[in-house]
Formats: sequence, C-alpha cells, structure tokens
Amino acid sequence: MRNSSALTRLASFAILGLFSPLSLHADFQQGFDEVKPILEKYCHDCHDNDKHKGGLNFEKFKVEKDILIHLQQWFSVIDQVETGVMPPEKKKLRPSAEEKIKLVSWVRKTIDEFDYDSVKDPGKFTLRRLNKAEYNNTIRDLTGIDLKPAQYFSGDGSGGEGFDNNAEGMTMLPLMVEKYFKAARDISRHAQASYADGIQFSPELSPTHTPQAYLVTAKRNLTNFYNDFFDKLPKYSPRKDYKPYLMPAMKLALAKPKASDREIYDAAIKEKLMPGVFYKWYIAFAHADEDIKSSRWDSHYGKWVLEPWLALQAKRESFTDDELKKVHADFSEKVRLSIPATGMMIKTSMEVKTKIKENAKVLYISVGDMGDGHEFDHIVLHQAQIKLKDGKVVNLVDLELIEKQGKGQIHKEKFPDGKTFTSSAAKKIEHAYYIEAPALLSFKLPPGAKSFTATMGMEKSAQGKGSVQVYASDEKIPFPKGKHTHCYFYSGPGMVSVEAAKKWWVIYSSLVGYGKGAGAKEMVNVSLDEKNKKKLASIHSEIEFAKREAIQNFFTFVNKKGFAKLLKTKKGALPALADLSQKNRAAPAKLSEQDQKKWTELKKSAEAFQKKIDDNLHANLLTFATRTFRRPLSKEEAQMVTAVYQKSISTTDNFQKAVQLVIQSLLTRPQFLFRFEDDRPGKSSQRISDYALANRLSYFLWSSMPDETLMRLAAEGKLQEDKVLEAQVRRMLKDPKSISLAQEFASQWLGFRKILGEKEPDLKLFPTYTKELKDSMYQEAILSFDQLVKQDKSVLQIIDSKNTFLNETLAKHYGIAGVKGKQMRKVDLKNNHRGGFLSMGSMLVATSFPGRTSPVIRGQWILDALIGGKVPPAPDGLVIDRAKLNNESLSIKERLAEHRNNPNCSVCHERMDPLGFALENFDAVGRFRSKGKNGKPIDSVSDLNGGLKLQGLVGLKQYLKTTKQDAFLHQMAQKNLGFALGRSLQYYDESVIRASVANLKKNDLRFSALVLTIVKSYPFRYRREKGHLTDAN
Amino acid sequence: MQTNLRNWTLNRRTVLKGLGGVTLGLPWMETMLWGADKKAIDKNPLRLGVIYQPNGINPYEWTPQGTGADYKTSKTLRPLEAIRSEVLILSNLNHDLKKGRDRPTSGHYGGTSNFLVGNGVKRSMGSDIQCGVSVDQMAALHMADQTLLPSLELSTEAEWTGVDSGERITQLYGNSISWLTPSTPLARERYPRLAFDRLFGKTTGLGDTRSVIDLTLDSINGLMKKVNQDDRHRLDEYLTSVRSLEKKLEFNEKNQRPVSASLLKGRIPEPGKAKSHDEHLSRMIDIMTLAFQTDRTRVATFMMGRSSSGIDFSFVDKKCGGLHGMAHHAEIKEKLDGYQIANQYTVKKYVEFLQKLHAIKEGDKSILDNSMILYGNNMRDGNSHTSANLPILLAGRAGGQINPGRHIEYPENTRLCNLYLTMLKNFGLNIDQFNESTGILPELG
Repeated sequence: MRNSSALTRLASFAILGLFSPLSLHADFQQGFDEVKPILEKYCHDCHDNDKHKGGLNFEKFKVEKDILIHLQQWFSVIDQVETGVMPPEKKKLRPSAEEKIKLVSWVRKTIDEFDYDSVKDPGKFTLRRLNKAEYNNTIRDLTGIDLKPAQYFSGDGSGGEGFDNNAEGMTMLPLMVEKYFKAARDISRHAQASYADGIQFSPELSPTHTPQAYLVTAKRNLTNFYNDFFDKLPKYSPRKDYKPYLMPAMKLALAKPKASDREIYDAAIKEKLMPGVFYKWYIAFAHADEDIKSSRWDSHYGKWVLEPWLALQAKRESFTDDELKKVHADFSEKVRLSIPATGMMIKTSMEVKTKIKENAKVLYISVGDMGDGHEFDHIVLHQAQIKLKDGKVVNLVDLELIEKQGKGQIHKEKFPDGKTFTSSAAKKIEHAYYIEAPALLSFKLPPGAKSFTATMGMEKSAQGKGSVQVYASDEKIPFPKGKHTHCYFYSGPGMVSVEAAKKWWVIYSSLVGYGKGAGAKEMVNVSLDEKNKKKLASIHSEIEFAKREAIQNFFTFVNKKGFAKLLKTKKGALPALADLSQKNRAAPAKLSEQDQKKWTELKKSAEAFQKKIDDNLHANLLTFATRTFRRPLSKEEAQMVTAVYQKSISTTDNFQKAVQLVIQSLLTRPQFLFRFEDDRPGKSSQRISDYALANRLSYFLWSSMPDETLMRLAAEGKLQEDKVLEAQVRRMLKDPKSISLAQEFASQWLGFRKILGEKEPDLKLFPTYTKELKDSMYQEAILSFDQLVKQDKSVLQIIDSKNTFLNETLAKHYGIAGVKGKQMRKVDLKNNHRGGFLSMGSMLVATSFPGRTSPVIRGQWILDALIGGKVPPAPDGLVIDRAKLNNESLSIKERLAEHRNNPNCSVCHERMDPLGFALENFDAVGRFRSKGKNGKPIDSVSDLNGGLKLQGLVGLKQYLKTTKQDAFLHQMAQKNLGFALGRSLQYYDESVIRASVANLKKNDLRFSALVLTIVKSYPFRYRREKGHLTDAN
Repeated sequence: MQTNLRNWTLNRRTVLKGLGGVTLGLPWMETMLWGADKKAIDKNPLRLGVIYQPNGINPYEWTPQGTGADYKTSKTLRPLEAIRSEVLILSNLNHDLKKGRDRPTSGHYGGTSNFLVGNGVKRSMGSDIQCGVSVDQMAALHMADQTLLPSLELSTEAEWTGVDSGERITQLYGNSISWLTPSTPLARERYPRLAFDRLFGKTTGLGDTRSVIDLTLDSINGLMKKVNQDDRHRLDEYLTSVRSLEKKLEFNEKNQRPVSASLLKGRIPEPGKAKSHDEHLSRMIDIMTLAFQTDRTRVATFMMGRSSSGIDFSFVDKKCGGLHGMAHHAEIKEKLDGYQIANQYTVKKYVEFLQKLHAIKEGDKSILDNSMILYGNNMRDGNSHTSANLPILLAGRAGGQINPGRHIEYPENTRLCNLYLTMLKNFGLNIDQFNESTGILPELG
C-alpha cells in the first residue's frame, strides 16, 4: 500500500471522486465514528474546543458538509499527517501507519463521494475592479483605439486559482487611484464629440480648436471628401476633350431642363461619358439664361454661343434637328475660343495687397480690362498705403509716379470731371487714385517699404458693367493684355451683375479647367456606396455641429453691431450667422425697430438650432455613458450625466472640452472601474440580470466589455435562452478578441507568462536567449492556445500536438529547418521532439533555474498545473549538500539522488522529480539535447513509483494523455472555472468541474464543451446576496 | 442628486474654474509648481529612506574586517569610503527565521515583503495575503498630514502576480517592501517621470481633476447605499483612495510656495522608461533627494529591483549577467565575481544618494544629518537563499541621535526589528515594540 500511496494520493487530490456519484451518508457516519478515536487520541490535545491551534478544531466537525466547507483545512490535515509533520515529533503519542492510512483515506473518501450537486450555491461574487488587461481591453473596445493606458498602472493582485482577475486580491490604493484619474484625463483628450457618430476617439489627441477653426476643419473635410473622388478620375482636358459632351448635354437640356442628378448620371453612363463633365455641360445648357448673357463675361461666348443656344432653348417644343445641329456645330467650333483663362476668382470687394521685398525700388500696379474691351473699366484705388518697417505709413498718392503705360486717364483724389470721391457707406474716401484700364503704373518706393495695401472700387457709372483685374507687385510685370492667370477680377458692387457673374462662374468654372475639372459633387453623391453615403452624412452633420460653436461664438462676441450686415445677406439665417461669426465684424449700426425684430427672430432660431445640437450631443453622451457602465443607466445616473454636461457646457465656449470633462468623470466612476451586477435584495440566490450575464461572458471570454450584439440580446431579454447563449459563446470564441483566453487564462494557468518577467535565464550561459527569441517563444504559446480555442480542438492538444507556431529564430533554436523570416506561422512537426506545451521553449524556460534545468520545478509544474497534484512546500531548515547539487560532472538525476534516498524528501519528491526527469532532453532555455553538460547521454527515462517507466517526452505525454487524462481534464476545468468566476473556488464548485469533465468527454474533448458547461452553470448564472455559511472564510 | 450638484457649485471646486480658459488644455505637468511650507522646513524634520536591493549578496566580500571606526573595508563596501564617516555597517541582524512553514520570513517573496516588517508572511496563494505594517509606513503614519505625500514608494520593475509553485506562495509578496496595513502592500511607481509628476507636477491641478473628484465621490456615495456589505468594503477602499487624492490636492492648495525653477532645471525625467538601469536608479535617487529637500515627503523607499529580479548588470562589467542568474552562483568563482561587482555597484548608487543628501544644507546641518537612510537586502547569500546576517547599512545622524562611521558586529541572530524599533523611536514614535523586536538596538548613538 505504502508504495503506491503517492499515486493514489495524487489521483484523489486531482480527481475528486469520479468513481461514485452516490452520496452515502450512512457510510460517512460509520467512517466518521471509526476515525473519531484516532482524532481524539492524537489531535484533540491541541485542536479541540478549548485549544484550537492554527485555527483547527476537530470537535466542530459534525456532519459531512462541515468537512467539505473546510476542505482546505482537511487537505492540510492529509498533507501534514502523511508527511509526518503532524502530530509533531515532540509528541510521544504518534499514530501508526495503519491509523494514518485509515484517517487519510476516510477524509479522501468523504471528499470524493460527497454529493456536490446537492449544494446550490453560486458563491460570493465580490465586487471587483477591472484588472490591467481588462482595463486596457475595455478602453480599446469602448473607444476604438488601443491606448493601453494600464501599462502605467501598478500590478494587480492574484489569488484563487492563480489568476489576476481574482476578486479577493483586487485592492485599491491611492497610487492606483491617481493613475485612474490621470488615465481618465488622458483618454478623454482623445475624444471628440460628433453630431453624426456620437463620441468618437482618435489615436491622436483631439485638437482643442477655436470654434472658428473647428468649422473650417469641418468644411475642409467636405472638400477633401470630394477631392478623394475627383483625384481618381481620368484626366480631362477642358480645351480638348469637351466635344463628345456637347450634343448629349444639349439634348438632355432640351428634353429635361430640370433633370434630376440621377437622370443626368444615368445619361452620362449610357453615353460612356464622365458624369462630372457631362453634368457641368448639362448645367451649362440647361441653366443658361439672359442673366448670364448680361453678365458680359465674355462677349465672344455671349454672341457666338449663348445667343443661338438661348434662341434654340426658347423654342424647346418646336426646334428642328437641323437647328440643333447648327447650334452644336457653332458651339463645337467656337466654344474653345471663348473659354477663358484659368485661375480666376470673383470678389465682390477687393483688397489689393503685396509684400515688398527689402530694397525693392519700384511698385508696379497693373489694371487690366480682362480682354473684353475697356468700356466702363474705371476704378478707384483708395486707402492705398505703403507700410514701412518702422510701422510708419506712406500714402500711394504721395509717391512719385515714375511711369504710366496705357491710354486711359489717371487722377489723384478725384474723378476726371473733378468731382471728389464718395462712397455709399458714407465712408470718407481719400488717398485714392482714379485709374482707367488698361494701365501699368510704376511708383517709386520709399526706403524701408514693407507692404502695400489698397482697396479698389468701381467708378459709380461703371458699376455692374466693368470688369477689371488689378495686380500689384514689387517686381516688373507686363502691361495687362487679355486675362491674367492667378489674379482677381472685379465687377463692381452692383448686385445683379455680381450675382450673374457668380452664376456664370458656377456653371462654367469647371469647364474652363478651374479646380477639379472632371468632377462634380452631384455626380459623386449619386454614385456613393452605403459606406461613403454614411461618411458624407457624417461630414455634413459635423459641419452643422461645428456651426453650433460658431453660433454660440456669435452670440458671445457679435452683438447688434454686426447685425446690420447680417441682415443684408440673402442667405438662410443660420449659415449666415455661422459665417458671419467667422468674419470681421463691421462697424456698428443702429437697428431699426424692424431689424430689432429680425434680430430677435434670428436669435430664436439660432437657439433652436443650438438646442437641436445639444439634444443630439446629450443623447450621444448618454449612449456613451451606457457603454462605459456596460449596462443601462439608472434614472439617477442619466440625470447625473445630463447635469454634468449642462454644467460644463454652460461654462465654456468649447463644447468639446465639456464633453471631454464628462468622459473624464465617467471613467473615474466606480460603475466603470468596477464590475457591478444589479442587486435585487431579498433573495438568497438569484439569476443574474441579462446585462450582468453579458458582462460575465465578455470578461470571461474576451477580458473586455460586451459588444453591441451581447448588449442588444441582453436588452431584448434573450441572452438567458440556452440556445442563444450557446450561439453567442460559439461566436465569441471565434472572435479575434478571444485571444485573451490565451493571453490571460492560459498564460497564467500554464505559467508561460513568467518568461515575460520572472524567468530570465542566465544570459552569460545562454547568449542566444535574445528578446526576439523570448517574444517568439511567448507567441508560440499564445498562438497554439488560440488555435485550440478558435478551431475548437481537443484540449489534449495542450499536452500533445502535431503542429506548433514558429518563426526563423525559434525554429533555429529548436533545430527545425526550413522556416524563414520573422513572421510566426504554423509548422507541422516532423519528429517527436516537440509538440504540445510540455516541449515549448516558453514552458521549459519558465520551469528552469537561470543556469540549469530543474526536474523538480518541471515535475512540480506538471503535477500542479496539469494534473492538479499538490505538494507542500519544502520544510524549513533543510541542510542541503550544495557541493553535490552543484557538481556538474554528475547528471542531474545523480545530483538529486538525495530526494529519493531520504524518506523525508521522497515523500514529495517521488511525485515530482520523475515527471521532470522525462523532460531532461531540453535544456534550461528549451533546446533539445542528447548529451548533458558532463558529456554523458541524457537519461530521460524516469521511474514512477508503482513501477511505471516514462520514456522521455513521448512517454510523459502518453502518460498524461491516458493514465492522467481525467486528472488533466479535471484540472483544466477547475482552472477555467476559477478564471471564469474570478474567485477562489469552493467545495461546491466541484459540481461544475465534474459536469465539465463529463461534457468534455461527450464532445470529443472540444474546448467549447468546457466553456459551455461553465457558462451554463449555476455559479456563472446566479449570484447570492448575503454571505452563505457554506464558505470556509 | 440636486443637493450634490448644488454642493458642487457652492464649494467652488467646480468645473467652472478649470473650464474657463487655458487650464484645461494644459498638460499633466504644469509650469506652476507648488512647494513646501516654509515653516515645516525650518523645523529640520527627520527623514527616513530605504534603498532595497533584492537577491542577496556575495557573502564572501561584504563584511569588513574589524569593528568600530577603524574597520578595514571590504571589496563590496569600498564605495562607502567616500562617505565613510556617515555610514554604519551593521552585522548579524536578521529576522526571526523560524516562524514555521506557514509563516515564511525569508526566501524571495516572503523575505521581500517581510524585510521592513519582521512578522513573516502568510503562505498565501494571493487571495489572503498578510504580513504586517512596515517600518516605513509606521513612520509615514506618524508624519501624516505634514507633507504632500505621507510616503513615496519607488521601484524599477513591473510587478509579478503569479504563484511560485515551488514555494507555494504568491509572487505578490515580491512586489513591495511597504505595507500600509497587514493586508495591504503598497503599490510602487516605477516610471521616473510619473514619480516626479506626483511630487512636482500640478497633477491634480486646480482645474478639472478637482471637479472630477467631487463627481466621483458623489457617485461612490450614491452607490454605497445600494450594494451589499462585501461590496461596500470594496467601494470604501476606492472612496478612501479618492479622498487621499483630494487631500493631496488640498495640501497643494494650502502650500502654494513655488519651488524655484532652477532647482528642477535638468532634473525632470523623460516620460516613459529610463534609458538604462543606471539612469533609472539615478533618476529615482534624484527624485527622492528632491522630495526630501522640498519636504514633499519625509519617508521614501526605493526597491532597486523586485524580488528575484533578473536585471542584467552587464552594463557595469562584462563579468556580470542577469542578477538572479548571478545570485545562483553555485560557488563558481566567475559568477561570484560578477555577483560581487553588481553588489558593489548598488552600494555605489546608495552612496550617490547619501552624497546628494550630504551636500544639501539645512541650517548648519545637511539633510543627511537629519536622516536615517537604510540600505538592505532580504537575503545574504543568494545562492542558498540564506537570510541570517543580512547586509544592512545605515547612514545619517537622525538629527544627532546616531553616531555613524563604524562597523558594529552584534551577537548572531540579533533582531533586525530592534534596529527598526530604534529608528522609529529616533523618528519620534513613542513605542516600545515593533513586531518581533526584543528591545532597542544598542551602540547606535
């Protein structure tokens, strides 16, 4: 018996009674009665009602359950009795071997045969904060950006089954709170409120722009959106490629003067024409009218092209084909001649300015007639000044006119008829020149001239009729002839012609090659796919949103003084308001009663607009808060969010900052930092809510917050349905996020995480153990476990697998040829030196000393991590023969001989060392070796007690897969359950562990069977409110 | 709800202040720096500092020959010669080594947690860790509310959370030498810049953090009523920690004396990790120096490495490797040599700290004169993990209560807690017992 006891002991620690599901209470009592005398005789001395040394009182155990509740204490009893630690040596009265066996086997039997299903207790779900990994992942999924703020946090606790998500070990300390606050602040700086898309985060810090800049940015985004499309269009030359467009455009314009964008687009596609170009030509024809003709842009165009076309258009119903052909022919031939030069813009008022280089001697001012004749092309150049470096100002009229080219007249400070200048705004006009185009004037610059500025206007009689280009430079410019590129032109302040000019411009600008010639926004809009439609809508919303700030800014900074100007614009009130707030405000104007009324109305509608935006923003914040808290907000919480937002927004002109503050305050709330489950007091145990279940699922399988699907199913109340739950679990396991099971569960269970910190080989002895190698080893373990999860393989793959994940560095380390490059990839293994976690570099390093292998550590790891065998720590005050232990001429087996020979050691070491010896073919950094340091062949054959021999890795794997399969499954289930629940397991959890093992077996040992059993289990789906008396502590 | 909001407005610690203008946009570290209360500095307060080094020492090269002032220094302690008159070398001190198997006092993990406690640790897998209040925290408690931070905890490496299956004990015990309560080890800051910002940055500023604190407190209080007893305990921990942040803020506001920019010039660490271990140590030492100089705290502990640290020391000398690897020297000469060189290097860094403190005058004394700066290791020989006769140094004069410049050899197995008791009494605590102390440690004065 004694010889095989270690194995039996091992088994019963690991597999709590897979033999008999029956609960035999009568047997228990009978057994209890038999061992009671033993306890009384040897133990009650120190452990009874009077004296309970070490907190152990044998008299308090009355019924079966008492023993189970104090399971850990009884494990310790077994442990100490078997190793002879208890009763202590100094006691004279010591139990015989038979008595020991009787006691220990009774305890085992009791533990094995207890009916665990009879105890319905979900255990204590202590409130837990997010650990570092959960915090990082939650922030990632909440914000969409992977900031990893927790990298600066302090380490988490750990406990229970050895995971750092264990609730009991999660303390909260001042330093950590400071970090939470800082993280909240840092994260919030990445946030930006968006009208269309709610709260958005970007990897870069969000700009805290001025309201104006925000609007400009929003508008620029719109331009960029279209440019992205325009840039992809084929090349189109306005002067060469227009001809095919004319006839189809004319025809459509005649047939459908008000064609929809879609119709225009379809027509273009049908004719195999570029929709953007076709659209413009269509508009050019369909929208041509007298107005445009009157704009006098181009006499050629007007006379040659527009007039015949307008005539044709006028008899839309009755023109003949010949007439159309004639117009078309005319057009085709002449339109090119009339296409004006590029690079022009219309200004309703114009400033002329130029910087002046140091030492420039002459200022040139050209006034061109645009090549369309110079009737009415008379301007007044006023407020014309040279600024000097020292800040002084010299008027243009005071400068010496060196030369004047051109036939027109010029006059200082008056019109040719001698009248002085006036302006409609009653503004005094002085320091002015009257100039008739075309002209080129050269003035002598004063020393130290820095810049020239002037305002130009038309002579009154020329308003609406003239068109000029004015240009100033300190470099010699040619006499103006025709149109210049890159130069403003001007048509006087008369509204009609300016409007017409603009219209012309809108219609023809693209045709003449200005800007993105081949594109038209309207055609882009028609052809957008869903994704881009959404994007465009969001950009437009953003502009709306940005205007909110502009409006607020307007009311803050623009008062009635600017209002007169505002009223004159003919645009919609709100855009006008927004635009106005970006511009310089005009001089004060007294408001009439009528204007006052308009002002009030405008303000009202602006406020309504603001409210609309605010409501939207507020709703978005509530949505964000819901996601942050990972469940619906209570009424009170919603009110709080509202209140904080309102408070913030009312005190800043920058709502982005207000939003950031709200986010900051959400991220420091316990509702975010902790995992709350709704308590419904009154019952002892209850099913958790759908939202709580969604959270338990996601933190179990993703180490992160629930996604939209889970939240939706929770909201619909469907998540509790077994079918739905199962489908969700399967979906979640397939999701990339389930890699957290490898990163958080497997790495801690199997212990390979230790190579990232704790376990560092001696770099002098193992110079090839580089960071790259270490990282590759870690990745190998992660990817292997992830493969098991994603492909739902047999969990025995942990012990043995036919493939692994390697890159060149790791393959070389393993002595495997044919793997090139840094990329980790799946490699089928050709020999039996590797396969499974036992032979992974990460595991082998994690279970070695820095300088050598340790069969003890490896054996203990196999025992402890893989098959759930527990051995007590070595006793204190051991005298170790270090000389022998460090003697490298001996094999490790020889060096550890003491472990076998000394009965005080062998009681534990006979369980550990042989398992470790089987891995002796791998050195301390996981390289395969046939010979030891002493030059002798490695002896990796180990004798398990009971006469079983393990032949190295292969034998060990075989042993674990078969003989120890149940122990392994039990252990894995126990660890996975501990991770899932994030608490120390209690005796009643054995019920779930056993069910998991059974289900694994029923399902080809597939990983999902384990997860599904846990997820559907009582402790996973229930919680209790008040502490049961069933726990030991 | 309403009340809370009203409070928020009334107590002026509102969002409004922060939101109005530039404050919100300022980075964590601000240009405005708040300094110590002048009065406090005038009192020449005592300071307590601890430099902890893990993984033991080469036992053959540590202890000097002879005792008293005329001792002949050892190889490893040679750097002390530069400041010999200010340091005590204390031999034969250690904790109780026999508290039983369930109460380890030594080893990598238990020994680290127990180093400043002397109570042993509970052999726990993590859920129920327990040790005792550490000497630094006793001192910090004594000084509570006098300084911005009651104490400063620094380190160089990330924490480990797993279980050491060999010792069947959680590795959490290897993370910190400071214990606030018998079940609460203190988290430590390992990023120099973050440590610096905690002391000198307007971390918590006057702006938004203040209002966020208020909102958080409101929200915790709101939840308190709704959760069960166990959970309330968790929330209470959070509440307490948020309050301590609030307290820190308040302290800041009351002590608005700026530290001169010239003092901090060139001493603000780069964000993120230090470029090298050497730089890391120097930065942390400088931060502790500044903290003492500006009276931000009077208690600072610095773990130059965590328990079982594998920090690579080859930057010191080619003979050196990873610390843990060297510690398991297996009596091989080469390894012992590298190990010794690494030990000597850490003593040199300790001396660097002492010299800095020595150079700063407070009246006719130096800060070092008004300090007790302990250097220690929770193991002697890293190879066998022995914990008898620990390497212990003590520098400073505790305002005249200590007479340094000697090597004192106590009887074997003298309690290290006796030293701690004496230090605490010097620090002004009126106590007669510190954990397993058996009396005060004689001959220090």
